[in-house]
Amino acid sequence: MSASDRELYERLHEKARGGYAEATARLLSVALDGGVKSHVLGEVLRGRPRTAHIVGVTGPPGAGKSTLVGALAHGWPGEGRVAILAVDPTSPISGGSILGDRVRMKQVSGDNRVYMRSVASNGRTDGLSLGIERATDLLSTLDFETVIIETVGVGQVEIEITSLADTTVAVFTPGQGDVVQAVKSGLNEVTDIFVVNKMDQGGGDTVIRDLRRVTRAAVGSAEEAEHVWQRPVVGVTATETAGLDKVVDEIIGHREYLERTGEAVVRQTNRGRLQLESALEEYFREAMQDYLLSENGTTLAHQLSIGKLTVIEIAEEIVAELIRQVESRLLASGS
Amino acid sequence: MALLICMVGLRWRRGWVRLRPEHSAGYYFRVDQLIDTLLIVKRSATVQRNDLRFATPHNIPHLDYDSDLGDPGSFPFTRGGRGALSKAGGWTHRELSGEGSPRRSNEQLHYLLEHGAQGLDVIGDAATVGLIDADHPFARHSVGTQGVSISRRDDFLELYKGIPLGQVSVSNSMSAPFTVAGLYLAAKNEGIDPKDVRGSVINAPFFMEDYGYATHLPFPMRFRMALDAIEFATERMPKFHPFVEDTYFISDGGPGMVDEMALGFVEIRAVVKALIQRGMEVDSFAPRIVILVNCRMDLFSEIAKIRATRRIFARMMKEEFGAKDPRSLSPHITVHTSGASLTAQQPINNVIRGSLQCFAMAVAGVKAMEISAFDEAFRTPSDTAHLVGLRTQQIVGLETDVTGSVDPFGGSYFMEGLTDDMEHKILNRVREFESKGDPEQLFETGYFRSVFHDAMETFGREIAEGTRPVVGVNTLTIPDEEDTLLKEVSEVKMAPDLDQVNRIVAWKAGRSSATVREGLDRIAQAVEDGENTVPAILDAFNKDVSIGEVAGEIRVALGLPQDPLLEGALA
Amino acid sequence: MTATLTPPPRIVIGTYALDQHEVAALMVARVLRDAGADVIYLGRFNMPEHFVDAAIQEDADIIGVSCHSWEYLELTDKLLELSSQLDRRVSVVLGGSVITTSDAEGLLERGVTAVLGPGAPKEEVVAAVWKAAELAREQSIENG
Repeated sequence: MSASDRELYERLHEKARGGYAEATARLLSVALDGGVKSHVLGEVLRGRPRTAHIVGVTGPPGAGKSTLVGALAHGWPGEGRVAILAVDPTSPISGGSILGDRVRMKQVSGDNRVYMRSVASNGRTDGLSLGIERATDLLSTLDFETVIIETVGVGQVEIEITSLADTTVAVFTPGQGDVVQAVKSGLNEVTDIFVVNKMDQGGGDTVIRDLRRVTRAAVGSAEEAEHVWQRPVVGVTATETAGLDKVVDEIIGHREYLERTGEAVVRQTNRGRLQLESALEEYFREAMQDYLLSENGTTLAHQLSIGKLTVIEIAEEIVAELIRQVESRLLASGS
Repeated sequence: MALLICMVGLRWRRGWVRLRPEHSAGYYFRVDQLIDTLLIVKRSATVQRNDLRFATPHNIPHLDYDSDLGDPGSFPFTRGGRGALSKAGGWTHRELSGEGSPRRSNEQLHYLLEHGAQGLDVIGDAATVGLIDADHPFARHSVGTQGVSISRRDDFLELYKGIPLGQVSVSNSMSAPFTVAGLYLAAKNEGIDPKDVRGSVINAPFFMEDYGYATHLPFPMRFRMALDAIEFATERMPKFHPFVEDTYFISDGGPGMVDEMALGFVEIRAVVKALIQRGMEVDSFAPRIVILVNCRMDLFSEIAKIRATRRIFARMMKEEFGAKDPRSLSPHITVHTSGASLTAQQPINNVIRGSLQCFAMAVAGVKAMEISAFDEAFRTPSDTAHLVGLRTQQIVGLETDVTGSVDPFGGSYFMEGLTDDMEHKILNRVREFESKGDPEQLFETGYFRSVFHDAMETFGREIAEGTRPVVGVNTLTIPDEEDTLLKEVSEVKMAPDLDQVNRIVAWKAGRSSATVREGLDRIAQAVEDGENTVPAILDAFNKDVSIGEVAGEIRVALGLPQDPLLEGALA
Repeated sequence: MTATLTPPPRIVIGTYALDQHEVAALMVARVLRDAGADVIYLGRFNMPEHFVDAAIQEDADIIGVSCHSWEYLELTDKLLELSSQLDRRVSVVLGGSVITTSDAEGLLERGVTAVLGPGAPKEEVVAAVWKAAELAREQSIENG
């Protein structure tokens, strides 16, 4: 089973690298769905160069992220291919989802340079989706020049994307409350490029000015300036081509900055750390849930509820047991 | 009308899923169905209906005859618009038409006139309404199937060939600025002075995009062109009605009566304010405003809705907009009976629904009427269905004494209470909509869209759950195989008119590209200079520019993709 | 009921060409989401190649078209042809008010997997979609 899967994935990977979208789609399903098959895929990916530049696009609902992402991908300069992962929320009740980002990215249909995939958040609440680290890792081995990840965009700030992306773009519109406040309360340090979308609605110039004021980094000497990224604020109207080129230029400029300063390695390592964290969480969550529902777990839960044992006493016992279980699971799936 | 969306939720009881073709056996009438019906009738109390068992003077404690009602034809026109007495009981009988090529539709118009139609109502197909030419890759598959296909000046000339545009009133369901230009040229071609051209065109820039007739022009441009059409016609075609507020489409897109009229008034008010801002005298255009309303099956409420609408309009025009001409205070109210109230099951039942609606609308005192045809669920009306619709109106108009008295329910405790109630609800809702922000923002953020969708979903759910009884759908159903009466004629389909596509392709190939470019440049200039776009469209039409090309040039002038369908730049 | 397919069905939903009556498509999308499916919503203005392109990139089991004009008569053959050229099998499901009983039979013969009437109860819609997804996956496995 695993041997034939492995052969299949090798074959699909070969096709996908040649730009065959159906193969990319199948492999992405494997990565996103997780489980043993995704471990097999992981082995297929071992040792392959990760060349794609990962761009995260985040921002509040209604900021026009999808339209912007579609337009950026479609207008991306040069011959390089672009992949999009657009995350939409999953219904916590049914586990189903309506993924609507393609409606605003019609132009990518028929554009052979662009691959676009809608992704359901699947219970994750940080704007990303279960398995997105694996999916990103897969895409970065498939000869895409750029991978754009669009977060769900439910809250003002979804910071997790900054650990996954090399370059984080935050999108706002002039009409959306106090943008500056949102930026000050956490987004400032982790965003690389600010975009003010829907400039045609008016009021954008003020927002741009205010943003520039709070995002400007203090720089001493000219030499120092080489190593400081001045976070740009770009005004665009994503339904028109105006300003889009500027956003692309800034993204490419940021990529060069990362490579020039060695920051690229730091970001890539961050991505690895996030993937590891998610994988460990997945392992422990499963093991923990199984344990809590087991006979032992039920007994312990009961003893806690009647005050016979303290939380810490029980937790220590469970953690020790989980480590044993996770160890044996990892050994089993690795063989 | 072509709004087949309305059939969502119908055929509920007989909903079918087939993984293999097979028929299920059924019974004609069963005891459990009867019980079902009783339960449904009981549940239907949860659907908002006028649930007044009987009314008393308490329902109208403050009603003042002179200030709240007035005689028919007098302010505030509750009991009937201007001329209600002199034209007692009369209304213009017309039927929806338009299918295939302009030539075929022209034949249809002549057929209707020969059979006693007093007015005509022409609808464009999806491409025409959306400003897309017949030869467009997206249009080819449906050219002429749900309305007439119009791509250029000559199509207008052919459509109206031999139609006495100075005598017969033609209602147009197509883009207003283009229709005004096309009719203007058609009249000239027929030797008729455009000043004498009667008829009307729907002009609803706020909502068209959301209820299924996207033009892919940005909101400010749609709004500007709607005003252009009104301004041009007011000056050059003074007998024409260039502003039909089409609340039919709003209502058949889902919303109930209150929202239908409230959204309509939101748009009317915005248009009136904008025209005044352009420097037009309110009395120069207000007398030509038409409101085309819907009529579903809650007949008393529908009558009250129309009475309330006349009163709201009269007071608004007089008190808020300072109209002085009495003609400005009384809107022309016309009706198209609801397609959403008709069913795909047992099409003959739709004839009965149409008759009842026709009766109610005659009582309400509308100026013109179209009955949605019995084959509505499947297609734009066939000739047979047309004739039945027309005969329905003629029977009600000629054989009954409905026409004997104007506003026969006037003064009824029930009807006046209902009218008051409707008026308050509509006005409250107008205030609510207007407080939510300016219409452009509401459009851009999808607010209007969500109003339509939520309402349609509610409507569908009511039918699914049986709280809104629909005979033959969620109660008193019959098996498919027994549902044959009028079924065959209803299900006849039209193939797309590929000849018309070929004609347009050949015509485009044979034009002088220099002349076409001149026409396009004129359009671009008009867009940039902010001048009225209708004269530029006239000019472009005469320089062999098609409708789709005009729309494309407008987009380009605004910095947008020329063809959003092919370039995929749609939101 | 049938909600046992893992992972749940992925279905692309939209309307054809200039058929702009979108409400039914949205209603069905919500019904399917509430049953646990992942719905990739395409909205209006789709030609057969747009549906198939989306199905490819999304690794979808099903293409669902909500029909309220006669364009389905002209465009469905192309949709079936394009979707049959894929490595994996994609089921085509149509629904809508204008599809008559005899049309439905013809469509099924030509390779449409299921036809849903406008009045199909939720349970039947869900059952048909799950069944269509199952079919697509079984045949995809056969194809390797």
